[in-house]
Amino acid sequence: MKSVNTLLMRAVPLCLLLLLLFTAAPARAQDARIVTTNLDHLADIADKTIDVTVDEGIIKLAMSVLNPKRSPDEAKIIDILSGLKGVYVKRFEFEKEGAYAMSDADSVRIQFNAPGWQRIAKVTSKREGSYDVVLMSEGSVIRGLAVLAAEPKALTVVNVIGSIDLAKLRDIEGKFGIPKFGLEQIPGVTVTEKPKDKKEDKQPEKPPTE
Amino acid sequence: MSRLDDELRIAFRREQPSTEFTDRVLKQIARQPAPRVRWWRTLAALFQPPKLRWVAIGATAALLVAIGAAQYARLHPTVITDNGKVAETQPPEASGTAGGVKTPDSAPEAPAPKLEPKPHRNIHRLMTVSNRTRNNVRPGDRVVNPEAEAAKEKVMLALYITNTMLSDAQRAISDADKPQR
Repeated sequence: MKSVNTLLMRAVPLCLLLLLLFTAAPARAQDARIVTTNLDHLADIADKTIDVTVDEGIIKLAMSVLNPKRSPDEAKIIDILSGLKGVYVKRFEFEKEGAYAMSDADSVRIQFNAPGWQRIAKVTSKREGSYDVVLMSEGSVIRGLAVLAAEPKALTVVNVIGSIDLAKLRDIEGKFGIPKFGLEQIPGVTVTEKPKDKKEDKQPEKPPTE
Repeated sequence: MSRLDDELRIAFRREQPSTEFTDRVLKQIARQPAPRVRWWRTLAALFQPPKLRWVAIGATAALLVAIGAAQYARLHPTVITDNGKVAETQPPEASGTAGGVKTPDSAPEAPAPKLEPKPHRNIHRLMTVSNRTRNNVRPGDRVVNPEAEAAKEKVMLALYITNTMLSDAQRAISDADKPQR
């Protein structure tokens, strides 16, 4: 029994250390994650809300279907997906301009000031809105990418976790196209659209005839 | 008193046992039944240092095999056809179908859907056609591993939106850099 006690006393700290390492690894990967839960209230006023969550499991499942020998494009897509750990998209479309407050966009933009993020592009246009593109990297390894597009009638947040080659992504631009199935038919993709009220077309008022 | 002392001395005098004494004692011991081994003593014996090593190795190996089997089953699910039979798997080159799986009683299958549909830059158009299907899958075709196909569609959509946003940002930057007239 003494040997069992001794073994337990030695094994427990080792198990705790292993547990700490395994939980710390995914915790580090989450640093590139942008929190967008504070934008959920916009779904109530948005004309259309699109929420796409692609985690590591879905990426691996998708890669199992792709065959690099079938076409060069699939090989490129597999190459892109191999470094990804997650892609999170949230987009709100509004009927009118100014439907959302700038504080909503700022609540996301302020996260770009966190340590590790490097702003690689920021442009503000009256016509097209503002775009912020930030990158998180450790040395030469990209850990994450985030894009905030605050357009007049839409607010989009794209968060890519993992290493992504933007050049390869652009190389197969146009090859994605429209998905085979409708957006609503894709499991895990939430598309909510407000039913539009039926209104009679208002005819322009005729000037009173004398 | 001296007589008592003498008697005590004689009584406690050291005497050598007979030569058969040792054999008689051993025979008596052999006749005794073996002590019962408690079950917890048997279990505790497994945790003795020499055996514990093999127990740990066996447990780790079993755990790794279980995890590997679970992962394999998750990545390679068994496809059940409409007839309730398990679809036969063939190399993708031989089958010519999208998922590389050929059903036992399959009719001539439709060509694999192309991965190069018409490019669409405008994400708004993407949203408006969400209710229409542009796939090459016909009602009679068998969809192989729909979960993986749906995952692929989801990933492609996410990459499409990412690419579109980056392109829009680049275009906005280009427009901003243009000298205003």
